[in-house]
Order: sequence, then C-alpha cells, then structure tokens
Amino acid sequence: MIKTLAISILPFFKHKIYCFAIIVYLASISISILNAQNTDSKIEGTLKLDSIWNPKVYLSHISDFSKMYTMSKSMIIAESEVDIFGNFKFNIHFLPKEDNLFRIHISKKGTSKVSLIIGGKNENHFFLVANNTSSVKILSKSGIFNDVQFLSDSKNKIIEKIDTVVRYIDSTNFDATRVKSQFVTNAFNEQLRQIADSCSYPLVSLYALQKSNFETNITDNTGYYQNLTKRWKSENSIYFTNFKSKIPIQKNKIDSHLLIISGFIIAFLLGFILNKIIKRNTPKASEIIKSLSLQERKIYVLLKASKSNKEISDELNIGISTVKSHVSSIYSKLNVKSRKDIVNL
Amino acid sequence: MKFLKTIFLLLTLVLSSQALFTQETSFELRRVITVNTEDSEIIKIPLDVKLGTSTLDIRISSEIYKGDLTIEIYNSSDVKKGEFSIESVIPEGKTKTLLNSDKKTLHLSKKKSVSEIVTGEIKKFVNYPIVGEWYIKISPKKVSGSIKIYTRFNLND
Repeated sequence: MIKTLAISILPFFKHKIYCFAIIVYLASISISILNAQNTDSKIEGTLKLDSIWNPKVYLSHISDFSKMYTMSKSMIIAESEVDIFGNFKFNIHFLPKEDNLFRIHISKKGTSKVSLIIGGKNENHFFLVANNTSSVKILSKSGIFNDVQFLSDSKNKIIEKIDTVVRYIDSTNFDATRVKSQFVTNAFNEQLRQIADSCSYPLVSLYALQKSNFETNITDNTGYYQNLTKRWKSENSIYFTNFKSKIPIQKNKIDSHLLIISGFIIAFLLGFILNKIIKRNTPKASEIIKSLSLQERKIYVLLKASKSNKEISDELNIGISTVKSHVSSIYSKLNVKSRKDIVNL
Repeated sequence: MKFLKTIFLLLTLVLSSQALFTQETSFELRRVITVNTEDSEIIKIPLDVKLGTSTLDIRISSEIYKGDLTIEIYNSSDVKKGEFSIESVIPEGKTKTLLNSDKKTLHLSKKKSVSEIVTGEIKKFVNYPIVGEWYIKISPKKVSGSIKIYTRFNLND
C-alpha cells in the first residue's frame, strides 16, 4: 500500500515546480494557523456607559492576590477606547502563556485614570483570568460592572459564577440581621470552597478561595487546604506560593512509617550487638570444662550421659561421698544447679 | 357612629405616635485628612459603634500624588471588613523638582503631573454592626495627598 502510494507521488517530486507549490502551500497553512492563534487572543466586550464615565477601559495585571484592591499606574498594561456602541477590545497576544489574574477598570470623567472604586453601585472594576491564547467576550447590559457576563471562555464563566455568589453574600448582608448574615456568609463561603474543589483551572479555584476569605477558615478546615496544596504541587507561580505559605505543612505519612520501620531495624541491630557482646563476655563451654580437674572431667562426662551417683561411683571405683563432692564442685565451676543443666550444657 | 369615629381617631393617634417614637436617629462624621509626610506613621481613626446601631455606612475616598497609601476598615473584633491600596510613583526628575522648588513651582508641578494622581474609594454598608470600637487604619508611606472620611451611624430609638 505504502509502496504504491510512494510510486504514485514520486513523479510529482521529479518536477521542481510541484515541490515548490507544495512548500508554499504548507507554509501558507502554518502562517494561517499562527495568525488564527494571534487574532483569537483578545479580550473584547460591550459596556453600557453613562455620561459620568470616561469612554476608556484599562487592563491591569494583578501579580498577586494581595494586590487585588491595589491601584497603581504601573499595574496598567493596556487601554482601549470604548466606541459609541460601547465596544472595546484588548489584543492580548503579549500576555504570558500561563494563566494570570487581571482587572478591567474604568474611570470617572475629570478624575485620574488610575482610580479604584470598591463597593456601591459605581464599583468600577471586575476581575478575569487570561493568558496569551485566551479569547474572552464580555457583556455588561446595565450599570457599569455590576452584571458582567462572560459570553465566551469557560474559565471566566466560572469567575462570573464566583462573583455572583459573592454578590449574594453582599446583598444578604445589606438587609439581614447579624446572625442571619453570618449563617448566609458561612453557607456561601462553603459554596465557594466547593467551586474551588471541583474546578479544573487552578487559578480560578484559587480565586474562589480568595473570595471565600479562606484565611479565617484554615484552622477549622486544615485537611481541605492541605489536599489542595498537594493537588497544586506543580503550580509555582506567586499566586500559589503565597497561598501555600499560609497552609500548615501536612505531616507526611510515609515519613512516620519510615520512622517506625527504622525504629524496628535499630532495635534489632541493638539486640544483635548486645547479644554478641554478652556472648563474647560469656566463657565458652570448652573453656569452662578445662577448668575442671581430671577426675571432675571424667565425672562430668558420666553426668552428661545421665549416670547416677551410684553408677559413677561403680564405674570410677570411688566412694559415693567422693562422687557427691566432685559433683558439687562441678556444679559450682560450671555455674549450674542440676544434672539436667549439665546435660543441656 | 360617634363611637366608631372615636375608635378611628384613637387608632390614628396610636399609629402616628408609634411612627413618631420609632424614628431612627442618625449621626454623621466627616473628616478630611491631608497627608504630606516623609515618614510612615500609621493613623487609626476609631468609630464607636454603640448598642442599638442598626446600620453603619462608611465611605472613604483618597487622592494621592506620591507614595503608597493603604486604608483598611476593621470591626470591633479586629476582623478586616474592607481595604484598598493606592500607589503613585512620580518619575525621579519630577520628584527632584517638587522637593527643591518653592510653593508656586510645586503647584505647577502638581498640575503637570495630574496623570500621576491616583484615587481610591471604598463604600461599606454594614447592617447591625458588632458593638464596640471599629477603626479605620491609614498606613501611609511617604504620601502626599488627602483622605476624606464620611461615616453615618443609624440608631434605633
């Protein structure tokens, strides 16, 4: 099959013009793929602005979650005009390939472009996650950024869901008693933790945790956060290193097992060494026997053969009292208490 | 009929008096702080939330020309309830002009560097706030600028 294919293609390569055409064709395909990638990476949207706002939107890079509510000119990385239809667009091909947190904001007429408004109806910013291949489409139908909808990009759709939960918390706190608002806040924070747990985009998960005020929950829910740090082991950006530094380090189970096993090994070795030392200090049986007299050795041999005093006396032609005296001497020299001990020696 | 009229009058009286007596009392506090310091001394502004306070409305807005400014709101249990930071870095040349010049030039330099002005604003509305001493913590770092604070306490009579 391959052979026939090769035979059929081969004549084309004999002509230089065909080769050239194929190369041009392949190059154009690769260029169009690259262009498609670049044109796709953008943040665009439509806003409904009233006359108090400047028709310009700014994109700021939030390098760390602790800077979410920090405003500085150095954080602004791009700006876009808002046209008469409320459309704006940022080309974001220059962004890093990894996901990062960004903030889009707008400023009031007559004020600095570097302005941040937190809370109230005129909150002038919202957050999003993007990288150099993201294609994010935003729609804000009423108000400024109170009802931002992400029309594309699954990561930011989750961000929108998280922001909706946070808005629920704020609106409940607005007209509820303290006890009720505490219950509601706890329930919604739990919901945010669930989003963080089930989300497959690490930075979005971390955003949910930030919004749940996780720092106040670490002591009550340490295991949950330790599991997350384990899951995000390979995430080394500043967002994650800062998060990990706040979570107490999990005691490694393998380490404790290793500790037990090494304890056993040490105990065994210690026992072995002690045994050796004791054995070394204990005189050998042959050495002990050497300490016996000639007559005692003969009696020792007969005692080993389980002979009685009478039999020993008959065999060695000595009196029983002599035998008894020798046996007692053997006992004391061998440090034994009975005939049985001698047999077992 | 006369009896009914009397009852109606009495009811009206009772209802109107209730409405009168359950009125909310509120008091406001406004402060404008001008910060022009080379050091970084933390300023704490206490907010005394009394028993019976139904709502607490805090609005802080600030405008700086140079330096870093962090504003945090803490409740009486020392839990942070809101914050923002603003940073303004004037290019080296401009800083030198500002420091070495007289008042007139300083004013002109400020006008020139309007683009360097950074503003921050926070609005916090708390229902049934925890009783005790809340506070606004202002942490300036070599800041030139101003802070406006408006607080409103609503008390149930």
